[in-house]
Amino acid sequence: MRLLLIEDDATIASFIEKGLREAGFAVDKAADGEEGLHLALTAPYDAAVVDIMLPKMDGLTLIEELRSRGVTTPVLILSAKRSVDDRVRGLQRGGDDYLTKPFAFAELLARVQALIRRASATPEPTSLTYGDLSMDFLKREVVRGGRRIELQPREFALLEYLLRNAGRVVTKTMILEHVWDYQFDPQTNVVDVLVSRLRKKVDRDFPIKLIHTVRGVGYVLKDDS
Amino acid sequence: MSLKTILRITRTVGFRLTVWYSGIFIFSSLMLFAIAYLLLFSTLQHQEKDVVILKVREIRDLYREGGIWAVEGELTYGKKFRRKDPFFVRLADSQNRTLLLSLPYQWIEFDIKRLRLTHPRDLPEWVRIPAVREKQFLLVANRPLDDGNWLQVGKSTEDRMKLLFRFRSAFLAAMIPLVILGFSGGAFLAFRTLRPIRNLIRTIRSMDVGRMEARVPSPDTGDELDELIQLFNEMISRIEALIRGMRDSMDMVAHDLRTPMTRLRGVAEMALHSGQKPEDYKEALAECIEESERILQILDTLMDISEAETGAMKLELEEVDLADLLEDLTEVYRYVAEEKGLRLDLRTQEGLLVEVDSHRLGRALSNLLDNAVKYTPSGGRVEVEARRHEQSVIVQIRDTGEGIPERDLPRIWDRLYRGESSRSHRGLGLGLSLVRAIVKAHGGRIEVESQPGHGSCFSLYLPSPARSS
Repeated sequence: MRLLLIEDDATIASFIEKGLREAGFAVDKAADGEEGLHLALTAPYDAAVVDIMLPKMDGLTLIEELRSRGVTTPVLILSAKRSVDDRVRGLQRGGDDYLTKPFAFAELLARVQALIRRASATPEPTSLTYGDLSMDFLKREVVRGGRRIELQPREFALLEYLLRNAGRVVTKTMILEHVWDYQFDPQTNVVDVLVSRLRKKVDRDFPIKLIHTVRGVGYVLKDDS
Repeated sequence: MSLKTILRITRTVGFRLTVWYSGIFIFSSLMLFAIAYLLLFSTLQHQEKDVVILKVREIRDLYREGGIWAVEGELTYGKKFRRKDPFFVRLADSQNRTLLLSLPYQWIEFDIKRLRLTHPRDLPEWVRIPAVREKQFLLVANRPLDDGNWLQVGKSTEDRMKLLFRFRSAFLAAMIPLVILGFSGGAFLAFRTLRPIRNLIRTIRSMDVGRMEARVPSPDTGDELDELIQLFNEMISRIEALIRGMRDSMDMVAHDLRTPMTRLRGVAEMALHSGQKPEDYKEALAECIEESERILQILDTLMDISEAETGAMKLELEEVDLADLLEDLTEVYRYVAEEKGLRLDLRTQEGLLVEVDSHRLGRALSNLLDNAVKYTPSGGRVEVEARRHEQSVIVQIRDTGEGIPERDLPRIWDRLYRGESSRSHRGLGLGLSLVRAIVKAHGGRIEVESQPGHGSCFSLYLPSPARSS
């Protein structure tokens, strides 16, 4: 998997690059719009991460240029503006997703992976197993260590989301968006409450804990042993 | 006055208005005069001709009855006794030889040679003979008699000319004050009409970005200029409010961010100075991330508040069933309430259609819900009720929490104000000001009732289009 990263701030660019490499991607970097356009037109990429404010050529123009030349590489737009207008404009010009700075790297990674999955049209599996935990999304059944676990709808949705992203950190914002389709941050920790309920049912009676808190970032489902 | 000043004045609207006004005024006076003059002129001419024709008939009758002698007798008589109204009379035979000529002595300067030289046959019915010096004519009727002789009777136009001359000079004399009147009237009108505009210009000149208190005095006449000035004043008020709002929000951003920034810095510094084990560093870093998350949240909320307060918030209005929105929101808090041992009830009616920005309103409602759940102790109850009331929809969020002391009530909407009891809970102190700002931006209002120890009730009134069913 090869990614193109167009970002003019060197620190941000290097931390994104580092993170993406650790996640197993090959990354090409460009520091301005023209260089980025040149790279995007000469090599095939699985996805591109493009900042809006770029020297020489801004991100939106770059995306328009790409689309007008028939390049369909999925693009994740990075922007420092959070207004709805900017998001809409970015998506209208041919961007595929939009992320506001500052962001958690976990979220960027999840969005990039979602873009690639969507572009390659990989069908989502209808059941998943991780360690001794298995979920059947169609029958809505959860089994751990041979024992059936009863979950309420939101708990099920959260576990499904964690399991589909097993091994990867998901942020609270991502959980809110996926589990509740909720676009804004409630101040009380709704997510924490739901996670602790889920833990009681999935982890409490088992020696190996699957759901872990990553302080300051979010949660991850993984086997630490 | 330098040429430049003159040029500048001639370019002003006031000057142009004055010139146009007086120009039109003078032109119409001239037109009026010309019409009167022509009318008078032709009337007098008619009268003269009528008099001459009458004389022609009289002489012709005399001639028919008594021949040339009768005519001569009459003329001699007339010369003696009717000096005031003399006529020129000439009788000529068919060869244009003068048989009789009577030219009153005061008219000798008319050159009647022409009549002698040209045969009457070749002359038109009316002949005008100019005077040698003066600008007047002898108007002569040229008529054949029954026996082939010719009769020519004439009269001077002197009276007519004198009258017209007097008319002209009277008009000229009147014209000078007329021009002055027209010009000064025009100048006065232009000055008066443009006074609001001059006030406007003066006010705008006196303004700059820092000082916008000045307003244009309204003439209060109810005309277009009055309207313009009122609109202008309203616009300036809005701009002023906007600028003040922006300045305030800059202040509050700076102020509100200082505290969490200090915490962030402190944590990092502590870790640098005293951190020994990798776990310490990890802990500090996690705290840094959490703190920066909080800073971001404050920043976003502050932006929203100032946007809503200054009226710059762009609402994405759509028709929403409030019951659905509340259903979704309470669903989010259901687990939290359950964990805390609270009852969370929702009561709605059908058809609670409102036109709102569901994202923004959702934020406001979830803030209220959040507070209710947060400040209600275990075993309590939170009730959300929405119902239609006349032209609005009321959402009430009632809790059995600790309530708000009376002295705090008016201040809970203030930014960063946190009552005694709320200090123990984590929060930004921005929630309620955001709620109020959003509700106001929707054209609604929010009220609160509270009894310390028994609970609070927030009532949110939203305008709603009349029920369509």
